Amino acid sequence: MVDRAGQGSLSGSVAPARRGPVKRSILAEIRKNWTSYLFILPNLIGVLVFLAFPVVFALYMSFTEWDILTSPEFVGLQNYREMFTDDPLFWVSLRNSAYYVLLTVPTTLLIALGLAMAMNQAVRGIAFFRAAIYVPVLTSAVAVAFVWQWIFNYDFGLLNAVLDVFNLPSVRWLTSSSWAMISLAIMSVWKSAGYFAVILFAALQGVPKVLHEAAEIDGASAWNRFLNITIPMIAPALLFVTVISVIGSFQVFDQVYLVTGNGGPGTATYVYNLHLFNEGFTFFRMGYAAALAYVLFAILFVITFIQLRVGRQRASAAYEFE
Amino acid sequence: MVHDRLLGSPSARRSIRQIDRRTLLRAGAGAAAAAGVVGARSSAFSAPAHVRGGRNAAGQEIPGGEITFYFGANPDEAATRELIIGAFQEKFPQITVNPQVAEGDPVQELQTQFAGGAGPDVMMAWELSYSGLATRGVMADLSERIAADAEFAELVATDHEAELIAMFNWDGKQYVLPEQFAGVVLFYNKKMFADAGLEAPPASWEDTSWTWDRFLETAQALTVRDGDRVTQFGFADAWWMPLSATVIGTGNGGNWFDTYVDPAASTITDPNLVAGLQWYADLSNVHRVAPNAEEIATQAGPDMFMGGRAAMVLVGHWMYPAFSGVDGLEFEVAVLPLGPQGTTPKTDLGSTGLAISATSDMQDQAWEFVKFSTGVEGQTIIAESGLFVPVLKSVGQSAAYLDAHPAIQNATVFTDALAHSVPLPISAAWGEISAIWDRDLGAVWRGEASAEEVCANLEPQINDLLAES
Repeated sequence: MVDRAGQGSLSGSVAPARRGPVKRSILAEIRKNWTSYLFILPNLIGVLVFLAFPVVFALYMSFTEWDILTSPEFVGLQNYREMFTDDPLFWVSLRNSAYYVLLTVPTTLLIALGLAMAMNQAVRGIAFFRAAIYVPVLTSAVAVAFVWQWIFNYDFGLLNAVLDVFNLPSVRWLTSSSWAMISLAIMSVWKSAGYFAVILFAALQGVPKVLHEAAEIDGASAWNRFLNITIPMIAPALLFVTVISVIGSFQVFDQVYLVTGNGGPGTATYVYNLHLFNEGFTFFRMGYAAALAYVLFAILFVITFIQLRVGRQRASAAYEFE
Repeated sequence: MVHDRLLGSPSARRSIRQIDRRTLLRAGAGAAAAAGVVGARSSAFSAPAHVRGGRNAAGQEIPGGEITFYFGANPDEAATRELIIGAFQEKFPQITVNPQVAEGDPVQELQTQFAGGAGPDVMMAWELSYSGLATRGVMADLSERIAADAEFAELVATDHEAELIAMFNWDGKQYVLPEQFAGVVLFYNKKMFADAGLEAPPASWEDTSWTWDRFLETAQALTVRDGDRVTQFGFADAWWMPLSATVIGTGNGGNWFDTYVDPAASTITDPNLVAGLQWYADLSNVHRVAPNAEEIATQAGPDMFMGGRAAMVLVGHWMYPAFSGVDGLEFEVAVLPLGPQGTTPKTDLGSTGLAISATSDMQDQAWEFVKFSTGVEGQTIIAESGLFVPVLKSVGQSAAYLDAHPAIQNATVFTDALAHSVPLPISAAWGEISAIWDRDLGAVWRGEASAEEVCANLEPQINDLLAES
């Protein structure tokens, strides 16, 4: 069963144009190119065992009640029903994650773009700055969490010390329900902006100089050139970065787990994956946790689909004059 | 029917900011500790078989074999475990005990190990979480073995605190035998008391003079302020706020469940209990004699006590080794404060014990080890180590135990507490209950809601979880 499903999807991705009697053509192809298949076999087995099987098994799990120790009990759609009708924390955590995405994604993109533009300048010692921007990305999440816990500390933290210098009141960064999520977002932006900046920087380097020069001769201002040349030219990279950061932000877990523990204060930072983790590994409701995972997958699938649709339309519109 | 909602491990999620006994047990329990344990054993315990060894109480030969023993411990505690294992192997040279130190959350680890068919033969069991594993058939029922061994049955019946034995009896089966007692007490800085000219709090759980009012006055006298900022707190919580406050509430005659083993209903709106929760929260929010949420996040309670920033802390014996290792810190232990509706001070019947895997093929060997560890011999080693509080009443009053606590005069405060303890709830729904209970009470500690409102809101939710389990 699993093997067949795996092969089916594999052939789908390898030769998407091919239609018709898939099964027979695969067999025929294998017979024809059996040595090639032999070469990819180790990887193929890896994909089937460690990727395809868990994905399919998790789907099955989501229709069961299972605590790992006793045998799973098939319950049909009960987990999904419970999620939508009888689990207030599902909605709370979904809302929190959406809020987190709204806080982090636009900010991260703007800052990453700004950093990328700055990295693209010919300044002395630029190599150092380019490397420095990437350091937060390389730092372990645990170390980052501990440092930021200190930065956010109410009594001795860096941020409140700075506010104090300007005679501004101290902020309860991590213990106030309204600030906690914002604080987490600040930390996440700091940690991940460098990663996206590097990708955008690479895209910026691919923008032909002649376009800028021609526009400059035509009298286009720097802002006009940025808007009408730079942005359209790096649109594919921007799209990629947006998609990746939306997915990443929706799946946030470690920062929250490390900084605010169980999503506190109250449920202010109780994000979706924290709920999933609690259900699965604290309450050992594996079936329910799998159902949560599949719902998140569906949400991300739809969001990504829309992004790609809209993004591609925009990108092709931008290239119309070429 | 068994519902799949299971126990939780409250410590897993607060381990970063707070030290409780479980996190402490886990601290440093990594590979290094395990390696040290194994290394020590191979060198120290390869001694030749003892002459009288190899037989159980009835004189029957116990077959040889290897058993795996899973426990949570920091390196010092692992060393004590090693002493018990060594003494056991001297008595039963044909049985090898392989220690396995917990690396993360014990409940998660045990659950996955048993799911993978590779569970240990003997495992440490925690009061709040064991019932979830027992319900799932992981643990062997020890009742028959106890009954079959007259001498040991006598020990269990007379030398153990009956309520503690009952707490580890789930569904009419004795799955766990208690090994360590972990009720919380009050630690106080002797020098700060002397400087403020204060009378020492009592060391007897029968003493009724240490009231909430007297405690508050004492804490106020011990609090030192520099303008708005508190430089020395009269008191700090060094355990886990919701459970600490609940223990204070039980010292006011309050109860939070109708019965503690397999409760059917929560009684968390009990006015006596609620008064305790509110009083505990007010120590910081109203009276400012205890650190608030921000201040505790800056410096945990135990660190405040060790650093001379708090004069009194509520915590268990597991902090004694750390406190006694601080140069210049002169401290003593006392009983917890008594609420106006209480009769005598109360603490919690916190305890860990040992259980045997139901699927182990080394049942006899495992049983001898559990019997040894929880019997007089093992308990005496525990007492001598000064790292744990023995559960056997006779050992708790012994010179071995008292001599192991040179830093304090009142070491019996720990052992006497056994008879003045309120059990902890034993329920398969505890994991989920503790999650909402911990989360919602947070608003009380932050001063955002009253204990009365929060408890009124919590009670029906807890009852729903109990009904579903």
